[in-house]
Amino acid sequence: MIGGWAVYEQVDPLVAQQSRDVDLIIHDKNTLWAFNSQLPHWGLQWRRKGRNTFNDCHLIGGDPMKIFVDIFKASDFKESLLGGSRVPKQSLVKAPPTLDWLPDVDFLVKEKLKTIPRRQRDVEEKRLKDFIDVYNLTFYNKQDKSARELAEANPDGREMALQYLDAARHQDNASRGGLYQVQLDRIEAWLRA
Amino acid sequence: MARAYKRVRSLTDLDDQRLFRHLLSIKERPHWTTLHFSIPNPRQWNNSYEGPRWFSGEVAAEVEGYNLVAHRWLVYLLPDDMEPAVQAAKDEFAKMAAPSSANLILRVTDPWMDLPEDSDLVQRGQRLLDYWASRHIQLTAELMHD
Repeated sequence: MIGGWAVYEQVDPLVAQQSRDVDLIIHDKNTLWAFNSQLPHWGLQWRRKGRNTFNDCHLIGGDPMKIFVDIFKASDFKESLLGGSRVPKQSLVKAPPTLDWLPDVDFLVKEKLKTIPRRQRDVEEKRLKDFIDVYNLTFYNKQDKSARELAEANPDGREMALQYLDAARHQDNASRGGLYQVQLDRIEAWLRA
Repeated sequence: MARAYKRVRSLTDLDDQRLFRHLLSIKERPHWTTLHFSIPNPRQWNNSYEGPRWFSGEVAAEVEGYNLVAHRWLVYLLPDDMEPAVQAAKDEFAKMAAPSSANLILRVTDPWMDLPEDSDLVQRGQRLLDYWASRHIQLTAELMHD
């Protein structure tokens, strides 16, 4: 697992489940069904919007939290990390400063701020998730980085991301009734620092 | 407070339960200078502020081993340390808040908490009263357990 998993590993367990993107690399559809069978309380649902297919993993009968699962098949891989397989380029964490094999918080915050302006218009849900990831990394990171320190390291990224905050608020209100209002208010103060 | 202290000192074989019940029966309470903040993560304030501090309330209970996760941090400070502590809170994006919504509570310590004799007793008593005042279910259940 890569991408959202790295955020999950670098934030306080209390908020880690809000880092909801999980990228899975599988070899074939049998692996996918094996994945489903190991998580009996989760149901994998496919949703198509325009040209994109989104794989939503819903917790059945429990918290309505969703996890977005991007599943990459072995046949789609480009370069090898796993001996002969190909990996879609956008899924790679490119040459990060790492703690062994886990990107550190500085890198993750910088990359998340870069990602926000790049999201296409039809993935506002993912952009909202990006803001929540920035919030969790900034205020709940396990490396004891202060929010002020992270703000000072990312002046340009904050300025760019701020332009998309209203869209994220709109998405939060429309899809969740304002569930993340407090977090978005706090991240706005950080973006404007 | 001097009268309350004398009454507490007259007790013998004090354990937490006896001390707590006796303190509840005393009407007198110190008047604190207290500032209430809402902050994304109180732990970041704790890392940022460098001065002395004395924890009470939920965060002290968590350290003591009570089965809870501290959300509201109650911290006692010396009078001269309040200003740098407030600045540290603002640096970590804290905002002034109503008492009901605050998760970082900075309180100027009363001199009676630093008596040369029996300061442990006074501080223990204050901590028990703060546990009670937190209205936290777990703490309330523990304090009222016979």
